[in-house]
Amino acid sequence: MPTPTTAFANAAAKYGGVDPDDIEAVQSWFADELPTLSVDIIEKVLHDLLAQDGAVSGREIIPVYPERAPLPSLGASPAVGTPLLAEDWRRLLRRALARLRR
Amino acid sequence: MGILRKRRGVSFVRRAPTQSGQDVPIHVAEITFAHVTWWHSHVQPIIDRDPSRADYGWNWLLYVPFAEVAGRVLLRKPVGYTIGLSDPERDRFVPCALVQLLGRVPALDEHDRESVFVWFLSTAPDEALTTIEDHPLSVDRIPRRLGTIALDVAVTHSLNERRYGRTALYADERGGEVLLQWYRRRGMTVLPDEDKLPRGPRRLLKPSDGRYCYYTVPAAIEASKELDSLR
Repeated sequence: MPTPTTAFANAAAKYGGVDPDDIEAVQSWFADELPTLSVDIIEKVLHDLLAQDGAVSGREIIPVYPERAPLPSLGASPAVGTPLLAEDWRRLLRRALARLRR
Repeated sequence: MGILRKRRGVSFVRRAPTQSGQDVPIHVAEITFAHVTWWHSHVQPIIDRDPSRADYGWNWLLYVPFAEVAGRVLLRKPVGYTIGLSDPERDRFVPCALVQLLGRVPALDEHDRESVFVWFLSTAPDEALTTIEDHPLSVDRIPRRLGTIALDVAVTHSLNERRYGRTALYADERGGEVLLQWYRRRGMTVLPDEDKLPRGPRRLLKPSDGRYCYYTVPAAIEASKELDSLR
């Protein structure tokens, strides 16, 4: 871990002509433009990013933080489902053993 | 029990220990834009005050939209999870750790097998959780072992997606030997720097340098069992 933010910025510049020092433009490109591009381009972006995984960037991009974003709601953050059998495997095992004992 | 864990999967952690000795309820949710927007607004600025942290300068507002797109159209199956405190009374979910995974990459130890790869993993500093506007947590309600729990989320995903616990990551250079030791203590193996990575661009551009870590199947199952009391 991880791919440095500069690698994302460079990818946005290379494939989208975005100013790599404008982090908000880079974020917009990843959120809005990239999904409209071809699978080939998305694959190339992924390869470029993975190739930079763990790389140390020589330059820094000035971060822009959203102001006072609200806490997420619990209703919109449901727990991830568990595989059906994983939930109950202990109980299933106990039942099976009980049946064997009978 | 290892066979059942491999075949049937395992549930995510649902509690976390605290300083007070009482567990707090947590749950694992799929990462959303609302989670990372709050994180980048409130948690990341605190992380970015400490250049020695491995997650210094990260931007989850980039990782999540990209993973969503890539997950839809490519075969790497990226997936992100948020580990958070649930507050049903006020309908709030407090993100405490984020994990971004690639769900399908060649395993580091057996190149013809598939593994999960931890791309990004970040935990909130205590200060970020005790200073939330209108919802500060007291120190004794802060979940502990968040790093271990976040790593367990990756292993659980691997078990549930039939990767049998195989999980790999690259330990950031900024973490030095201390970070490598931390992963070793969790049961991970460090790939020797003379070993080759699986075929792909990474083998050429970021070859093995003694900082790639991975779980073998038995080690992943042992690590998973250690957190069973919190599931």
